[in-house]
Amino acid sequence: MTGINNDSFGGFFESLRQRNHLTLREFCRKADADPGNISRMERGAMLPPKSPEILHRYATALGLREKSEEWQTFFDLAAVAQGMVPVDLLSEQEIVKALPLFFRTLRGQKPTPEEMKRIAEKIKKAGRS
Amino acid sequence: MEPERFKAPYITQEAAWAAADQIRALHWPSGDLPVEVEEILGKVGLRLELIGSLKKDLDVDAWLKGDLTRIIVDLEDYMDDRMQNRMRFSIAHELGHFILHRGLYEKIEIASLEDWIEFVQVVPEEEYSFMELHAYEFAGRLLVPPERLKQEFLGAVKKAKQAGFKDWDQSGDAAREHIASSICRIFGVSSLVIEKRIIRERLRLPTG
Repeated sequence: MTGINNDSFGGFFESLRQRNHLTLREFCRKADADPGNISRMERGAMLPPKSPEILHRYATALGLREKSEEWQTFFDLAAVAQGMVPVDLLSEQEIVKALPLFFRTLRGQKPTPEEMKRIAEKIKKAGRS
Repeated sequence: MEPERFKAPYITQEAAWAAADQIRALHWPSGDLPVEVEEILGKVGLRLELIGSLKKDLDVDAWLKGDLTRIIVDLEDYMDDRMQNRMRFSIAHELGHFILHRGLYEKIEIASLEDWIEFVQVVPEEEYSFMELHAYEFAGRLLVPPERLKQEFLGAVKKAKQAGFKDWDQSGDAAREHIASSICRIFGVSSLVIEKRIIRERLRLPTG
C-alpha cells in the first residue's frame, strides 16, 4: 500500500481517491455521495457512515476489490473512526489557521469587516480541518 | 509584520509565468488539455475542501487557507457543470498564491480574529492588488500553455480567413472575442481568460 495514508479513515479514503485520479466531484457522482459530507469525512470533521451498504458502495467506487487487504483496511478504519467522539466546533486558534489572507469578493473588492466575521462563522460551523 | 507597512513581493509577470510553466511541466507532463488543476494540488501537498453556500452567503468562491494546507471552494459551484471553467480558474488562482506567496504567508502572524480583520482591512489596497495580480497571471499561464494558445489562435484565424472574413481592421475587439470564444473550450476556461491571454502573449490578428 505504498503512498497510501492509512493513519485515519479520512486520510485513507482521500489517498485512495487520489490514486484513482478521481476528483471529489467525480467520486461523488460515481458513488452517489453527498460532496459536503465526503469533504468533511476526508478531513475528519465527520464520521464515516455506519451503513455497510453505503461503505460498500464507497469502497467499490474507490476501486477496491472485495476481500483484498485494502478492502479490509477500509472497513477496519471505518469501524475505528465510528467509535470516535464526533468532532465539535473549532477553537478560535483553529479558525484563524483556516482563514484566507489575500482574497476578494466576487464583486472584486476586499471584504468588509462584517463579511469577514461571517466568513469566520462559516468556517467555525464547517468543522475541524 | 505591521499590516500598514505590508509590501507585496516584487514578482514580474515573467516570473509568475515561469513558475506556472514549471509547475505544469512537473505535475502535468502529459500536456493534455484542459490542465486538470485539481490533480496538481495533490502533487504539491495541497488538498481541496468543499464548504456549502460560500458564494451565496459570502460572495467568495475560493480561498487558500492561511496555514497553506487546503484550498476551500464553494460546494455548489464545484458540483455545477456550468461552473467548471470558473472553478478551474479559481483553484489555479489559489494555487498561484500557494506557489508564489508561500514564504510570505509563513511570515504573517495572525493570532486572533481581530488581527485577521485588521490585517485584511489595513494592508494597502495597491499591495493587495499586486498579490491578486500575481496569482491571476500564474493561473492564466498555467491553464493556457502559450505554445498551444498560439497554435489554436493561428488555426482559428486561418479558419476565419477561409470562411471569407476580411474585416480584421474594422472589427476592433470583436475579431479577438470571436477567436477567443471559438478556442476557449479546448483550455477549459472562459473566453475572457483567452482574450486576456491573447493580449498578454502579444498574439496579433491579421491586418487588412
